[in-house]
Amino acid sequence: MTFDWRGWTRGQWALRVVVLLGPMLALYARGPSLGAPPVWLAALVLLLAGGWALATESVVGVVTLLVVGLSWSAGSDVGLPAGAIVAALGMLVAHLAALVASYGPPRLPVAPGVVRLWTLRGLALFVTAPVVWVLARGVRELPGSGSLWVLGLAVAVSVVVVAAVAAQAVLPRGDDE
Amino acid sequence: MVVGVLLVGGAVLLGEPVLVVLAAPLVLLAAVGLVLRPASSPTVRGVLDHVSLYEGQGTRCRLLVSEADGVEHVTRISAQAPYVALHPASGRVSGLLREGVPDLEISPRRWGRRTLGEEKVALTSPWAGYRWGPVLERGSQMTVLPASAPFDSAAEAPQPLGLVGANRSRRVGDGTEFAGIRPFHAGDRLRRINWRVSLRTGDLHVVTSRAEEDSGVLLVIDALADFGRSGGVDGGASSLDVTMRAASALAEHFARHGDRIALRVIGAAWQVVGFGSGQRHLRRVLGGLAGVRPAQMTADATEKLRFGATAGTVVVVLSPLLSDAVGTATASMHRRGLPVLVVDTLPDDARALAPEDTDPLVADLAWRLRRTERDQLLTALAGLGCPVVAWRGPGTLDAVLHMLARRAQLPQVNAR
Repeated sequence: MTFDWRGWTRGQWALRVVVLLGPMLALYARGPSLGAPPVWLAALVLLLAGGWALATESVVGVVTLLVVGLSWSAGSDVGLPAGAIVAALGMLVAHLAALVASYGPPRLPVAPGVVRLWTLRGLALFVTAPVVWVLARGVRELPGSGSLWVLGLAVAVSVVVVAAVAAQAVLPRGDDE
Repeated sequence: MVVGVLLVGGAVLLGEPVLVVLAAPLVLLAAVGLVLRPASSPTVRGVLDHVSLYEGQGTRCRLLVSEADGVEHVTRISAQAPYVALHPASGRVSGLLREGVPDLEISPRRWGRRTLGEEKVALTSPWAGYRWGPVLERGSQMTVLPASAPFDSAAEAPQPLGLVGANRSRRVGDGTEFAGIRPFHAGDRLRRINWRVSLRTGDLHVVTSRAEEDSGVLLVIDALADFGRSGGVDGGASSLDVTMRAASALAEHFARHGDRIALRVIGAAWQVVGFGSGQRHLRRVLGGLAGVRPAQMTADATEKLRFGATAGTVVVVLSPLLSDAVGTATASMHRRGLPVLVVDTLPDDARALAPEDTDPLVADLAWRLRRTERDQLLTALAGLGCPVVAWRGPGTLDAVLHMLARRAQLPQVNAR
């Protein structure tokens, strides 16, 4: 696989910059509560995000997001910081940018309609992050919250399925109209 | 989906709710994508708006998608082919199906048989849960006709010998061109009587006119080689480009005047289109021109060239005149008494296409030798009285045809 970035369209450049910066935003969002990430971790994430931006369909994207997620779990003694919502936004935006970029080869112009559609969808998806954050904070106050997580997972999956069906009816779809 | 599942799993195992917050949007996205799984497999088919084009013209390549219930996004990547221009130039288009399948505009820039509309197509389901393809969609073979160079001629055919046409013949008949006045014979039309002469002479006299007949025009194409580089319809022209565009212009001109035209292609494939007239026959001739590929003939085939030109046929040889076989065949037809004229189609800046590893000095020397041989051939043809003209567009053949028409009035001894 070759990465001839000279032929990329402006839309593709913009999407890949978002793919590069999204994980960095998610990583540095932990700063106010957990402190700035170590330099080696930031460099690792930057390297991985760069690889993801070059090959948006590769497994590097999965590794990048997992590294960012694990960095959050490593120092979460302070509880559930609000920065997690910003981190979720960064990860989601990077993932959606990579998704739109991988609709075709790097020289494929990005259709404005596709960007608009995924922006709306991204906003709808992002709503789940603060909702879950509020729920998680509420659950932590309850006694025996450990077993509640398993129950919560089952509920979450059910909610996800219902939300998916609802989203199909509410949100714009490609083959509607 | 993998990230979401791993993060949620990690959150449950490690008791880290922050991972759920991070994973929630990704899990929801994956779930929606899975729920909206397409129920059927789509099929695609590429269609061109036209089946035949002139070089430089354009057409639209449409993609018909059936069973498109589970399709949200379409990506089309067109193959890049020589002498085929695309719009957009990259040949890559994509868009949402609800906004219509994005079209590709294709324009062949050079005559010939070309494959247009070959592309790869990928379809994506709603919320990008599933992808179909990319699959290769085979294009269509299209006959790209040579664009007619600007051409017109006011000259008449030298020896029209046909039935009904627009060329003034030597034979007396039912035309409009005055031929003479002679005594009345039984069967003459009364409206032909010239009363002034009849009163003066005391006998009935009638006005005679010259018949108007069609003429046979044989176009002989030298496709033994192509000299020079072709830049398509907008760029530089190779010898075969000049030949095809000139032949196309001549065919259209003579077909428009009701003459019968025929085509012989000197090349590896001895291509023949018989005499005929009308627009349908013109399309056959242009299609024959579009199918020409430069290639050498075998030595024995070169010696057995037979053109099937009968008396009264005007033979137009279009050639860069770098082949002895073409020169010999031209001279043979000229010696038979046929009105033969040669259109020189070698561009001024033409160079022989030598292999890349050839020494430039050697290649240049070889080319100069060929040009010298060509000059000798031109001199020999001129010595025989066979006119050779360079293609200049409108009026290229006028002077030569006038000269041949005058020559046709003279008594001749035909060599057999």
